[in-house]
Amino acid sequence: MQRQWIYTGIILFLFLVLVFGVPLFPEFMATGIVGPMNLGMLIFFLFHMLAPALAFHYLTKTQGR
Amino acid sequence: MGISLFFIVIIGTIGLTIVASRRTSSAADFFVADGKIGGVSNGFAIAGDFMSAATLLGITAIIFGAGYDAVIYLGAPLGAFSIMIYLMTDKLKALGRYSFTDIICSRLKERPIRILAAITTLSFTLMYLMAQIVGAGTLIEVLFDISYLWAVVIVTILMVIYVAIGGMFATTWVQITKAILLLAGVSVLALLTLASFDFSFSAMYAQAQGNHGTDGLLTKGGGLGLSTISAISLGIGLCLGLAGSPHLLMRFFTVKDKAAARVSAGVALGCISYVNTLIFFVIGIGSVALVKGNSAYLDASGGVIGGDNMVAVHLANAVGGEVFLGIIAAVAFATILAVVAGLMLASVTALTHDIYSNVIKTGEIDQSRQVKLSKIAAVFLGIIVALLGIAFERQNIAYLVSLALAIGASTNFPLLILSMYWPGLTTRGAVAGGVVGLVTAIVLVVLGPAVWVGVFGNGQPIFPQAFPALYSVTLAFFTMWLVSILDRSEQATQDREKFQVMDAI
Repeated sequence: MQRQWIYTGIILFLFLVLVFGVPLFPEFMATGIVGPMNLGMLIFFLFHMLAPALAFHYLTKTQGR
Repeated sequence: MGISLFFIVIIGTIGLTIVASRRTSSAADFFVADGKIGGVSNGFAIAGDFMSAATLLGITAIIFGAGYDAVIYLGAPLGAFSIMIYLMTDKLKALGRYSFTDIICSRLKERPIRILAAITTLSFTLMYLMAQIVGAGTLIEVLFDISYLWAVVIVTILMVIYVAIGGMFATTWVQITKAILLLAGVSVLALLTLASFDFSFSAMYAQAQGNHGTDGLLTKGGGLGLSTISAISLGIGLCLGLAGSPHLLMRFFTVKDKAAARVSAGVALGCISYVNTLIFFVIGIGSVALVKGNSAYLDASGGVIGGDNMVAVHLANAVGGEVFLGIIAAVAFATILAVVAGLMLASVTALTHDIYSNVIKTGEIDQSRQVKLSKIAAVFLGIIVALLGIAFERQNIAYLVSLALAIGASTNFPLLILSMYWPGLTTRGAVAGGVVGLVTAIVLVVLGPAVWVGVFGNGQPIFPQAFPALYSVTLAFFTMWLVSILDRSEQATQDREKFQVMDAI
């Protein structure tokens, strides 16, 4: 499978985890991780770090094309 | 202080427009800056085009009221921009010239597709514009103590000036300026908020939890009371609606090549990700900690002065005093101007490029006439939007945004993605699916709680969901697929053959 479909899939999967987490498993997403941060907030944070990081990786790989 | 910054923003942006007008002579200059915008600059402009006042003020208000559930609103743009980077930008830049419709027309029959796409684009942009104008009028009334009527008139005149005089160059420069102002404003606001708690996240969250109540919904799902279907529908509508937004898509034609288009989307994604993170972790929580229950920001009824949308502005006052409040208010104003200018330009493009030049005149129109007509169209559309904005002053217009995004998700997105990636799509399938998506989105929003109960005053909605995208998007895709596979016409054979040519580019 081409790289761009895998990257899109990863990002949309994380987004759907956040979306489904709101109505379906709020207690699980509220599991404490460190300090005030819980699992849902950690996934949100990773999602917001991973999306630009993947985009940057993709841009460097496709540079010059 | 606030009113001085208000005039500085006006004078500064008009100055940019006058400079830009000297570079605008051809239709290519007017619609897409002749592809002369750099990739990074265009990325900031896209971020500026996307991040409306709703991003800073609206999302902070959602965190203030409903807490954690704002993750759906904040996560959707990342999904949308990822789709754009990985799946759309290369083909948009390779096959399009002025609007996303050019890509679809490169393989399907031009006339019906242009008419359909122009209708969906105008529906999207005018609804979004109206929502922005009404929101802007209310906001400016509160921020700068200018009457609603004058606020609408000022925003409309500025929007028309940017587009009619400066075209895409002026719109881009205003958007870049706004994006930089917003990034700086949000950074300083977050920094000052954290400084109020000696840079202790734990202290800020503890105070916010105490102010928010004991239900724990500040950091746990459930604050908006969304059902599973509603949450999915909202997520799909926001994500695919943004990926199908004509004013964002047309920005990819302003750069010179595919690599620059990808860089644009990447920079925009980075900016949005940065702003979202600060709003979610610091500004939203900080507003609950410092504004909620603070008598300085409450009116006689116990509500927030100016409504929940003002909590970010009150937070600015709480952490930075009157001067910083004025700066954040000016940033919000610049934000509004940049977004409405982008939307207006997309509307003008749909009207003059897609409908007049390519459908009515079948491409036989000289460039100077096309630019002249576009300027007239900007004035005409500006008057309509201002009149609608004044007429809808006291209406709750939040449903217009959800309807606009539902249209983007249910028509533009399926049309674009299937024409790019599915060889089987035919003109009949595209038109049938587009019409079904458009009609379904409009009918379900009208029959839903926002309009049927909120506007018409009925007791119960006929369609129980506030967000129709799950149904309208599914129906649109299904109709496009079904009609296309059943289509045995000669045109269908040509459409499928043209995909091979298009895919090779």
